[in-house]
Amino acid sequence: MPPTGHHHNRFCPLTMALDVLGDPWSLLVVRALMLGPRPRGSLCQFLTGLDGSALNDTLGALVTADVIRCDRDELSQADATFELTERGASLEPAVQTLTRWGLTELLLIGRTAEAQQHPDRFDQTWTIAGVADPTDEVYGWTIDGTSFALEVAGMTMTRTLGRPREPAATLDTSFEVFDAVLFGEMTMSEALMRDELKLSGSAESISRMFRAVGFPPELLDAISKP
Amino acid sequence: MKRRSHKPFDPLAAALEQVGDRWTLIIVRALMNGPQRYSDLRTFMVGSGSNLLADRLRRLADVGIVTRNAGSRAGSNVTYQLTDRGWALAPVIEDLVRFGLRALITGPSDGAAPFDREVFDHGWAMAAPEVAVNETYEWTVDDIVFTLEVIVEGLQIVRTPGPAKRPAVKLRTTAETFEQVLAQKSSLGQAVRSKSLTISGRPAAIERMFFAIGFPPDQIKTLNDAATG
Repeated sequence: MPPTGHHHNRFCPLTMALDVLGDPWSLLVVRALMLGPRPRGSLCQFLTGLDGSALNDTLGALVTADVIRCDRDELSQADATFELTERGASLEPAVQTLTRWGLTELLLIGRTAEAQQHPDRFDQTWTIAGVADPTDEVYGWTIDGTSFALEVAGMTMTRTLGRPREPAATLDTSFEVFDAVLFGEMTMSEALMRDELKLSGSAESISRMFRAVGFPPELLDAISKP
Repeated sequence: MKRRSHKPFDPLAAALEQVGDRWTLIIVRALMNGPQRYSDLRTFMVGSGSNLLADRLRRLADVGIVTRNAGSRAGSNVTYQLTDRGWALAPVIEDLVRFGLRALITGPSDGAAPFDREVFDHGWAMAAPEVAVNETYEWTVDDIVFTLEVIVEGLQIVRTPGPAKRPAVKLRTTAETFEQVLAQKSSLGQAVRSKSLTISGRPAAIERMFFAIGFPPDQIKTLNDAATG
């Protein structure tokens, strides 16, 4: 037991949670493991920008806090596999709520008009690396009447306010419907049938478009079936 | 391959970039009590550097989570409050509070070591000091007994293994029941009615106890329903 000089934590549940999760990476690790156990190597592709030693620190802290567990004693081993504990799995609602909240930012709904004027460039290595046939093309999105272009070039994607000239695929919907599809309250085919979500373009382009923005692949099955 | 510094088009990463650090959600939670002055907010920031609050408030205003209202009088009346976008974070905070409470009350999940005596800083809850009283609470979770002692003068809570001498409240339950209440599969009121959680003590002391440990307020209310219903 540590004697005097012991750091006084706050008896505060939120602080206690943020001591473990209050950094940009921990919840990204939790999300990656929400789909099932993963080897260390495949975790890296979800964590663009995190180097090996920082990854070890993050994984070590999460194991200590009983959020994830590892099948090896040495976490840095290449074939070490990680999975969520029961405690880690209880974070799923928090991850989902934060994802919805972040979505408004990416779809230009949550921001002031002033902040929307500048094109924003994103690193899409984490999604595009998994696409079989990456192609440079432009997509046009309209959400609740706000139009913007998503232009894929190599591993980056640029978002610009306004309609693109020759989009390979377009999507037109409301935020409410998009959100419902993303969180499984409505299927993509239901939204298409009710005309609450409209798509245009070749099936291949539409599929590439959704993959490029990181849309969960299991939600895309409806599109391939006419 | 060339290193790029662009962020990914990823909703969770975008959210964490804005609110994923240690202090931002603590400020948002403080503002869930209503508009606050800068000096009020400092109470919640025990252990942070001096510029941190000002820096975070500026960032939160830039991204539209917080607005700054200059009052009718110059200078002293500036308050900060949440925007709709800031309020949309409330469910996240509730989820994280439940996650943190499990660790504070049920100890390590492998059950190996019942926790040692530990002193916790309690300044964050003293924004409402009229609620705090020096008293002890005795908890028994899965037959492990521990005492929570609130010390108003030092703004502390001390958690000690073993029974309390003269507890204002005694609570007995299982870790499983506690988990269910936190996961909202059951309310405190329901757990009391089904006798899977027993509490003895004066209602005011029971309410102070749950307030002191940061229990979700909506759960505390269900106790009154159990008492009257």
